[in-house]
Amino acid sequence: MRLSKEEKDEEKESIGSASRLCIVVNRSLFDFGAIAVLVLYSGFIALLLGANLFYLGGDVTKDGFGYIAAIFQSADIRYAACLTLWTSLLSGILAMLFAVPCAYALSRTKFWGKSVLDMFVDTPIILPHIVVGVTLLVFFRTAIGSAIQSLGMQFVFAPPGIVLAQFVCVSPYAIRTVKSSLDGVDKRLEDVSRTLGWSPMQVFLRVTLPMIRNGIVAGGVIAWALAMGLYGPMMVFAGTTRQKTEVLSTSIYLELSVGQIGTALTISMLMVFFAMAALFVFKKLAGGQSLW
Amino acid sequence: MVSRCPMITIQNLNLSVGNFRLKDISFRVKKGEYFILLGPTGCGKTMLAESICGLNIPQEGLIFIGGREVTGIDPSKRKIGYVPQDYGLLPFKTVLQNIAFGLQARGHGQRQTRQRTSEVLEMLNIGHLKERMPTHLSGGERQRVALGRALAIEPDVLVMDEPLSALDESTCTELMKQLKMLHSRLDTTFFHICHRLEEALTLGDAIALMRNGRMEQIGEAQEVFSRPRNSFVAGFLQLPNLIEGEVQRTPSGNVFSIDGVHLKHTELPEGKTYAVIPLQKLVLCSEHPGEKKGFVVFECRVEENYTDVHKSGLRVKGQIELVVPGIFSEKDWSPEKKVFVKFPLSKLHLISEEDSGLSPKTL
Repeated sequence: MRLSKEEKDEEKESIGSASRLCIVVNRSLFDFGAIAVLVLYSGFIALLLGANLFYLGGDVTKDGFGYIAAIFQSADIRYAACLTLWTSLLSGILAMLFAVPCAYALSRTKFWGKSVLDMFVDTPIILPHIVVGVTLLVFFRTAIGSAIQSLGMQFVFAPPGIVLAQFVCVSPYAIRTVKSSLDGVDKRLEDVSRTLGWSPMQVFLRVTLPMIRNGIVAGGVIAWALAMGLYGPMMVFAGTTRQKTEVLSTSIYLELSVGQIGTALTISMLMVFFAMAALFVFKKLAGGQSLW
Repeated sequence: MVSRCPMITIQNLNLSVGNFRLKDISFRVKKGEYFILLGPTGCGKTMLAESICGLNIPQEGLIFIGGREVTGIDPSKRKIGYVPQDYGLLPFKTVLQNIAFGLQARGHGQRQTRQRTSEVLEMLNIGHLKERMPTHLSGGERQRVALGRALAIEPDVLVMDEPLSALDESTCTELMKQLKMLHSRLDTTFFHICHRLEEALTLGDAIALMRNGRMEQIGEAQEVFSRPRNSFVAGFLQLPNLIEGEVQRTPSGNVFSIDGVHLKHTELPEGKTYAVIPLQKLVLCSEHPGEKKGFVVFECRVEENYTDVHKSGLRVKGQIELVVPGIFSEKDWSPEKKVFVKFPLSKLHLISEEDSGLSPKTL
């Protein structure tokens, strides 16, 4: 049977729409599969956090909220919380003081040996944190380290050591966050500003810095949040002496070691809360993404 | 007004960035001139503009602005207004603050800055936008603000990198008029990068054409369009009536010929050669105009009598294919009609293909 031209066109059109439909279905299935894996993974993390809450909920149901209040009234825990707060804030600020110029040098300048320095910046990220602690301990046994300590500031098994260990471990994250923010600034804005009469330093202060403001805050928040949760180098380099070098992460270990699972969990949940709040701020500022 | 003294002088500039290199570039831009730099995408136009602004320092060569050598001088000390391709407006500042930004850098007081920004806003008719943020402006408005910011510092040279490329046709036409007006009103030398011929023809006093980091031709606009240096230039300028022929060796010397018809003696070497016939020198006749020394006549047939909003003319084809601009009645000049095309041999501009190694038809 011969088909007229209109019939042939209609047939072609129906084949075309069928193949389009097929692509849509396939793409939807593919997307569906990816979303399913994502939901599975996120669900697993949520389940882990939920398990903590469920366990803690049992204690709260039994003993009331006074149980949690009693934990935070403990002098040891309050000391650890205060020490965690000020050391992490200080190391976060220190990390940012180094992060901005380091990120600027990595993002905007070209020089011989840059890739080697870039590699050193990232080294603490890939090193196990306990190795950082051991390295710091060894460093302060060398002549240079001993000389620094002889100047009057004690680092080993002392609160300044906590700040130093946190600083070493969180700085790369701060540098990377600020650098990625700097990389996102259109260099032409800086170029135009220079032709308008501003010096490179003035351009940085008046153009670049306002443009990366969110990145700097995000870098600071992530550095602070990571510093709060550090455990490995504290154990090795700063120790876990109660009311001296005990921070919240080491409190969890100490409480668990004496069988106080409820106390350990309460501190854990407090840290989870801080971490989630920091992540929220980080996502909002660094990526401009919505949490939802 | 265009002066004879040069405002920009580039001498043997060589600059490598990554794998790309500007090769031995030398040219001059006269004071007050509207200079157009043409070239295909990726030929090094922006790199050259950035070198003039001081954003790239050449490895070799010298740059002079207004007679002063500025090769290694910081961009902030060159007195150049720069409008980059995407305008480079600071997104966290209002239009007014953007325009005042350069004036603050140059130490103008508050009163002086206010006065100058008002002048610029008025000159560009953007006073109503002064409190807006750049993200809330249309493409044309952004372009005007960027122009205003560059002009506010009263630069010696205004460097614009494809300022009209991202705009729609009508905004483009409007802004071209505004650029022409600004150029006639101000004492500034305009250095305008573009890849559209319309911009070059409408605005340029002088045109330079670049390819692969090299200057192919520099000259007054009329000269570049009527006497392209090589087939690349002719092809890029989309010159109509570019005829393919060849140079043959004869006892009396080398002769340019089409289909065996000897037309003109030439110094060019043997081989494929192109001839540019200036549009204004073409004469179209319905009957043979008779042989005349120094002229050549080709018999053709009308292929198309075309008319659209912007242009009209006849496309004729015989031994050669030509376009004859003008308005021709469809009744008298219908397709298939036999016609004769006459032009003076002296105006025939020959281009050897070896100059570029590229056929215009492939461009």
